[in-house]
Amino acid sequence: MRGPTAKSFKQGFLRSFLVSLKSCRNGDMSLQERKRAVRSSADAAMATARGGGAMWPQALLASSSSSPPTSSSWPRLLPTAAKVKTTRCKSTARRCCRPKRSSSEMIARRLVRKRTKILRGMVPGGELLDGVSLLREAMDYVVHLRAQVAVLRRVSNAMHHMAGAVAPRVQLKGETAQLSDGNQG
Amino acid sequence: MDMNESSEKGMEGNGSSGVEWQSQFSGGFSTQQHHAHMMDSFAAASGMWAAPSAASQNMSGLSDVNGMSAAARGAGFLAPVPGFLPPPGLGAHFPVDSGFIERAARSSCFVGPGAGGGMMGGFGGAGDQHMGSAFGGASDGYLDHRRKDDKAEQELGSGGVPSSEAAGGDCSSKGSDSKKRRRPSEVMGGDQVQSSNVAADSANESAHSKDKGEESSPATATTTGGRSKGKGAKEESEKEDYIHVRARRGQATNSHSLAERLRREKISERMKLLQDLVPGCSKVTGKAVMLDEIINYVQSLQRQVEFLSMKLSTVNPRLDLNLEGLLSKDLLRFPGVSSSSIGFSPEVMHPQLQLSQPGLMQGGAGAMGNPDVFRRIMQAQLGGAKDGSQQMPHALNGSFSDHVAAQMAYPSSQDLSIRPSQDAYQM
Repeated sequence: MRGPTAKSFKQGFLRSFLVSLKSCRNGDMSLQERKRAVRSSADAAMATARGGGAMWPQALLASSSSSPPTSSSWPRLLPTAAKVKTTRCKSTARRCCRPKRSSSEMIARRLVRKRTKILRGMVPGGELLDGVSLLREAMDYVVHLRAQVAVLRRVSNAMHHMAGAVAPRVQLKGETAQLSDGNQG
Repeated sequence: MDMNESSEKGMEGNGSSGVEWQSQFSGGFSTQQHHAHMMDSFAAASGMWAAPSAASQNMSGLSDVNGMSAAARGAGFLAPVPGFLPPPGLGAHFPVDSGFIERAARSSCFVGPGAGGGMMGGFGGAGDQHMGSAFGGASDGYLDHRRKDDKAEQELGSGGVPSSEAAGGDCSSKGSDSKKRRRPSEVMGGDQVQSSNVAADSANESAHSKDKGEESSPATATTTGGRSKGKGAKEESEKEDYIHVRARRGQATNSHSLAERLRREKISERMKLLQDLVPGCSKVTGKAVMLDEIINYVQSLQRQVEFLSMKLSTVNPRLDLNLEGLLSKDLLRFPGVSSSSIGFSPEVMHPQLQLSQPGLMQGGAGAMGNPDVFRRIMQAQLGGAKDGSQQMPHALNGSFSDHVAAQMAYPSSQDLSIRPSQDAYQM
């Protein structure tokens, strides 16, 4: 059995995504608004399909629903201990490490710190995570993003196919022919 | 599935040898139930084990040489290394990428099967312990970082959290070590703590001064190989901690610096995992550059999502239930058949769709899994934020629990979280 989990995630994501698309299927929005609706529905679908294995789904849903992140789930998840640990480690590291004074190391460290901050901003919910778990979250997020992109691409291609098939009604591709009949009938 | 059955048989066989392994190692290791537990989760998760028999051979070889001659053990262990899975006896000869990342995934904190819904706590908590101890046993013979073990051992005594993280980190690094082995893989005295892998990893990546410290005192490390490694073996290792600490050369033995070093090692080990995820980063070393690549990749993925959502919003909305069901079936029937990894290649998608559509003529309306839950979320999102704040956590919990129940979420999600290459570039 190939990875059932990848497929199941994609299926769940697809279902949720299609449901959300149907629900926001009102055509009175501008293109930008629709894009934003589609995008947020995709994010919400991804977060929902992910399940409870990472932190970014909750952060993603919180940001997409634009509700203040003071709901009951947040305080439980806030890894304050992690934050404290990070700061403490930084200070003690500076104290205990041998003073190397090599500027290349300091440059590298600065670069790493800067980029870690950038990554924190990109991964939803990354601000609360400490360096180690941030990398893990990023890994998880990347994998699911990739799946999301694949599913979105399929859906958009399928819908474009459908839209293309409806007008001319010449392409007899399986269900598209059926659907077009159903639509026009 | 045949694979699962055979793998389970293999696992049971390995489990028994794992038991004797533990008894030999005397201590610190979790009980067999952890092994079995992990193996079950692994069986459920991967299901792609090519050679369970080979794995059992490995296990027997390991238990034989246990603690005797380091070289022999290392050799016996190293033979299947490229495709060796961390869970003892489950070594299958995967393609290196997949095996590597799967190993990392299993060992990573995502695995907390016992952690239930606990998020951050669950990350580094129970799952790591399970994994870590079992992996600690299995990781013997990987590298010779006994000193690092000792240091980690001491650190285990000092802090609970770092130990669990070390365990998780070790498990991941084990896979990474097998893939990128810069150190000579000589044996291991046999009872490496999980953190030995992490240490090995960090040593590989970070300063080479550690090499000097390492090789300078191999003898002492060999003799004082911590027999009682493991998460709970603090008491037993105490008598050896002193020796281990002394054996370490050129390193600060302050507890703070130990914690710092452990943290750095874990970070480096995760960077290695990320290297496999992000395409084209196999040759890049160094945290800064890797972080840069990761950032670029995430940005590109997010931009792709934006672009695709824009494309979707331009299409004429003519959604039917048939289409949804068919699309679901499409994904079902062509799991691995997907377009390329990153580039926009709609033309590649077209033939696939054409292939699938004729076969899906009688596809009825797909069963919408959790439409209600999700609809609630979407309504909250679109309609107003007021009820969203209450509904969302509940909806989240509901959907999460559903998925947990339906998908065996932990092994499945962690399998997905760091999937190997067959999915990595095909998702």
